[in-house]
This record gives sequence, structure tokens and C-alpha cells, in this order.
Amino acid sequence: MRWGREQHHIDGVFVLLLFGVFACCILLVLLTGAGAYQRLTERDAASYERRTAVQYVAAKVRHADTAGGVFVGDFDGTPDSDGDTLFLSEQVDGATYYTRIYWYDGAIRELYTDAEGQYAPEDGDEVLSARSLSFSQSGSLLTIGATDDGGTRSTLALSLRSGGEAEP
Amino acid sequence: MSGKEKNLTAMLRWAIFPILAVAAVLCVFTGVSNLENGRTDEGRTRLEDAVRKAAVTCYATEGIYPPTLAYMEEHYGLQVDTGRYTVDYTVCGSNLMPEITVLENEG
Repeated sequence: MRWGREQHHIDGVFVLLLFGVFACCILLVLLTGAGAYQRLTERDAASYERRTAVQYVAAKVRHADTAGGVFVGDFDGTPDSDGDTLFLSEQVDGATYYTRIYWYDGAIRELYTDAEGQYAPEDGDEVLSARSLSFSQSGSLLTIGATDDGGTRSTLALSLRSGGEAEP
Repeated sequence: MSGKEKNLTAMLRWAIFPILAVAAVLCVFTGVSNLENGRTDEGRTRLEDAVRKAAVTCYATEGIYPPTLAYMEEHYGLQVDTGRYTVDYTVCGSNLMPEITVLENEG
């Protein structure tokens, strides 16, 4: 009788142990899957950030690449080959409009305004987050440097098809 | 040890395993329920992020923000679980970031 009761006791412990091992295995599989998924999404995000910043600026430049239509300068509109803002200008009904592309407060921003007005960097629309964005222009060669949130720096050199200079 | 104490010890010995098993099952169910809640919130955030990224990718490639959500689904591989989420995508202009709101469907 006593032997039978002890046998039952050991069976209970065994079942509980088996349940515990099973639960731990499920947890381990879940954690491994979650880790793999997290690594994939991080890699995807890093790849997106790395290529999108320079790709965006390159696409905007190609759309506005007219003679004298692309230049680098300070935010207030003063041309400077190592300025912090890229200007894309266009004529609409005889008036000049600028699309400014620049970095401010953790994001690459864009501001489309008339050439005459006074504007502040915070007026621009946030396009995507980044750590920095820099421009330099030497003749028809425009160099764009962007650092993404992960700290990876990408540089793109573009040759302006218009030559970069306004026709006389 | 008196007869009463012996009975109590025997009862505890018999009850301890069912109690532990029920507690373990409860823990697993609570964990799975919390995981499900977290997954729903995470899913909404991820979808909003995915829509925003697809819109910016379109802007970087084409120079205009996508006119509709269907455009992103067709050309930028965006997938929306419409049974679970409702996406409000309001275009303000071809060069202005659209307003994106993701809501979870009830039920």
C-alpha cells in the first residue's frame, strides 16, 4: 500500500517535470524566432536608411537639373560651395521658387518657398530621420554625404547634366 | 505527530501537484495573452512605419508622394491586413508628407 502511494507520488513529479521541460522548449523556440525576426527587421531598417537619404537627394537633383537650377549655399540663400543647404530653383510665372534640402534637428527636411521670403529651418517638412547631411559643389560635380541614424555614412557624387552654371 | 497533523500533511502532499500544475497553466495563459496584446500594438506601429517608409521610398524614387495606398501596394510591395487594420491615408500635395493613421478594427 505504502509502495503504491510512493509510486503515484513519483509519477506526479515526473509529469510536472515533463511539463516544465516542454514549456521551456516552447519558450526557447519562441525566443529564438523573435531574435531572428528582430535581426531581420534591424537589417532591413539599416538598409532602408542607408540608401534612401542619398537616393532622395539624387532624385530631387535629377528632376531640377537645369542650368543654374542646382546650387549649394547657406540656408538664407547665399551661395557657398560648402554650404549646408541644397537649393533647387524653378521659375513659375516669372517668379523664382526654391526647394531647400537640408538637415535640421535630427531629420532631412525640405522647404519649398518663393526666393524672396525669410524662413527658418524649422519651417521645412521632415522627410526622413538622419544624423547629418552635407553638400559640396565643385563646378558640375555635386557631392552629397549623409549619415543615417545608425551612424553609417554614405556619399554620392553627381555630375550635373546641365553643367551647374546658368547660361549667359 | 498527531493524527490531525498527519492528515494535513497528506492532504498537502496530494494537493501540491494539482495546485502547481494549475498555477503553471495560468502563468502560460497570462503570458500568451500579454504577448497577444503586445503583438497587436507592435503590429499597428509596424504597419504605420511600413506605410511611411513606402511613401518616402516613392518620394525618393519618383519625386512625388504616392497618390493612394493602393499605389504603394501595387508598386512598393506594401501589404496591409485590411481585416485587422484600417489605414487612413490623406494626401496633402504631391510634395508634402501625407497624413497616415492606422487604426485597429474592432472585434
